[in-house]
Amino acid sequence: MKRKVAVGNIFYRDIPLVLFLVFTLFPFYWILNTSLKNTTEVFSIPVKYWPAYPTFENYRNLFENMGFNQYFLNSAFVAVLTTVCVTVLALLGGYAMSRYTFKGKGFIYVLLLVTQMLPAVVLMIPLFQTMNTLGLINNLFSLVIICSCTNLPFCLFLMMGYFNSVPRALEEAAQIDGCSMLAAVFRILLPVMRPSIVATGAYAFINAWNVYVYALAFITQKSQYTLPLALNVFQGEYGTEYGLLAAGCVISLVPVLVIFAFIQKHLSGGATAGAVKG
Amino acid sequence: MKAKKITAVLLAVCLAAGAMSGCGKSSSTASQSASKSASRQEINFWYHSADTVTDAYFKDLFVKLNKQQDNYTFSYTSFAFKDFQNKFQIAVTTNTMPDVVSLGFSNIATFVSQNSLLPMNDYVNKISEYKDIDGQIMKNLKDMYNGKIYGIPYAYNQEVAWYNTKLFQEKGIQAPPTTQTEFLNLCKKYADSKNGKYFYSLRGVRPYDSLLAWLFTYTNGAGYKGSWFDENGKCILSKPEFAKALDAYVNLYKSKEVSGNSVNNNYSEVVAEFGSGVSMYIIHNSSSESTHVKNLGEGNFASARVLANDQGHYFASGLQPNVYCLPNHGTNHDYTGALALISYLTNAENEGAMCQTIGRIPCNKEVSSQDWYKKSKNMKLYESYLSDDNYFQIENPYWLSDFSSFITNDMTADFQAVLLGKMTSQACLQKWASAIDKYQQAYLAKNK
Repeated sequence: MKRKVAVGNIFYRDIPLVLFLVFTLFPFYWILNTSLKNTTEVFSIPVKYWPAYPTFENYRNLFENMGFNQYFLNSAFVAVLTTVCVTVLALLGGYAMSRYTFKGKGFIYVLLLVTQMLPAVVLMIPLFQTMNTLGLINNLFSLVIICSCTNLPFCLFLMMGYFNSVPRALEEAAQIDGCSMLAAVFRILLPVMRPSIVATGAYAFINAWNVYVYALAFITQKSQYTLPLALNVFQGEYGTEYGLLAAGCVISLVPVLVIFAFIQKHLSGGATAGAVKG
Repeated sequence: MKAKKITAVLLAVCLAAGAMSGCGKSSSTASQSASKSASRQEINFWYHSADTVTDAYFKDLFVKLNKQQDNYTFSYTSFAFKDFQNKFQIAVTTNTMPDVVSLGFSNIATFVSQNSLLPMNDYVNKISEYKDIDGQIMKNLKDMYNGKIYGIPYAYNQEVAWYNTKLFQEKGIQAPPTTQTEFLNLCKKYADSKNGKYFYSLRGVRPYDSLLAWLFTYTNGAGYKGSWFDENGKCILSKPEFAKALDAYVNLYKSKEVSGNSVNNNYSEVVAEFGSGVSMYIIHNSSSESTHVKNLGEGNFASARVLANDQGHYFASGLQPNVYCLPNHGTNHDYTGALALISYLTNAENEGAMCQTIGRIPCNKEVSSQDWYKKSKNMKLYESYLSDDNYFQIENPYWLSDFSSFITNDMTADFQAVLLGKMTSQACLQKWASAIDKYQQAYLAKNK
């Protein structure tokens, strides 16, 4: 009986999982592989699944000649600041939307929903005009503001769902024990909701890290480029620098992967926390 | 109630902090530029096709230009080729265009139709280098827009054949093919699909230059010397001889005489196949020379004239220069600084250095007296086209504002469909001819 279960596990669990993993991870492996090749090896036939002479030349070039350290810092600046803004505002807004009944709540709810229906390209010109009037063209704060605004509605909905899933009795009990309303939120609710906050923050971070359309519109000076804009430069009119492009992609992936590695435990719990009201 | 107030205050503080810090930086930048502009006028230049080599060249040049004079601060900004069209379109829409912009030949019509570029006829006398620009190139540009000059040409690419001399020697191929018949025989002879080695790399994405050269040469231009239109103004591509020519070309893919990746090969993949030894002969323009040097090493490749037909005639797109344009800021705008910059950029010394660095053919005739030009075998080859009676320039209808998207999108999708057997050559060419006829009619109606 035990043996039958073990064989079943191999066919129904392990093999599909391995196939899925190979399918998912192969592109990442291929990017890494390409980033370690020199130009001629990239397209060599027969295909080389590992470079004959692995080299970090592409990475060295990125940081020494292409200014990738600056682009990395610019992306980090936008992503971190957006994450902080969005998380704090979504936390407060989500709490209000979840716990309070006030005039126009339904209207605000619909209004927030509507903001999610407009594609970025539609908003590009009016937002460019706004940022130009504010003098924020070629200023990374323009991206922080826009990324915060575009991510906030969805994050607010997420937070609202999480708050809905936490029994109101929890904070009421804290208040009975002498906590103020705010202390109850920060001391009692926040620790309980840590996975949800992490999930919201991660969502905002990744969106801001990858922002492209608005960066294209607002940023012209190379010194203010973020990583997605900088990566496009390698796809020139008369050639693509595949090695540099792959190395740039690896560098862009690292923070996202590191964040996921640290928070994935919280993320899987947090992402589903608001799904079912407890 | 208390909590509500605290929440409101927190929200307000967050928003105010964000807004103030953002605006703060900008206002300091604004005041800096204001004090600068008091002494030197700032002239912004946008380059349409950034790459590492060109960027390095222009950055050094602009440092030099700013040191040379005290009237202007010239600033250089470049964009990835993929991003430029959108970026410039935003600038046009929001009236935030630079003072001078570099455009590819195929992009001019799009922005002319939007009235975003200034006709320069009244300004060219302020550019002393104007008289040195090749007359034929200037004529082509003027003819395209009924005598209006929308830009000063500075460099172009010539379609040529590149071949791997080392592999040619190994295989015992004495010389690159000169005719399409010889070429087809070599493709057949050296196709080794088992080992992924071929004679030629075919381009399935944005194939227009190499594909049109093939079609026009094969059909001898159907007797119209490179024009897309017959005596009645109808597009000639729907003629049956073009379908025969396309069949012969597509057959290379269907018979596995080129790589299986050909459908998705763009210029970079074609150049990479050549650079990695997958193929030993490609047709691409002069711009890829620096990549061949990097991939194959100096001396391991050479250039040759493109393929001719059995009559010895050869057709190629050519003389499609990049141009420096003046974005239209209105007739009352002061263009003196912008014209000074164009003058600097197009003088023989600067244009020559640029063409030498990035592998382009100069439009300023004075460059031909420079040492590097005289010593360059490739430049001699490119130049020889212009004086060869067997060469016919394909007169691509760049005056049509839809032509740029036509060659990028429609041509790619349809040619790929023919390669994959989902469309016949005749149907494909009929579709292209109808589209061009439609665009031409609209153009003629607009410019009556």
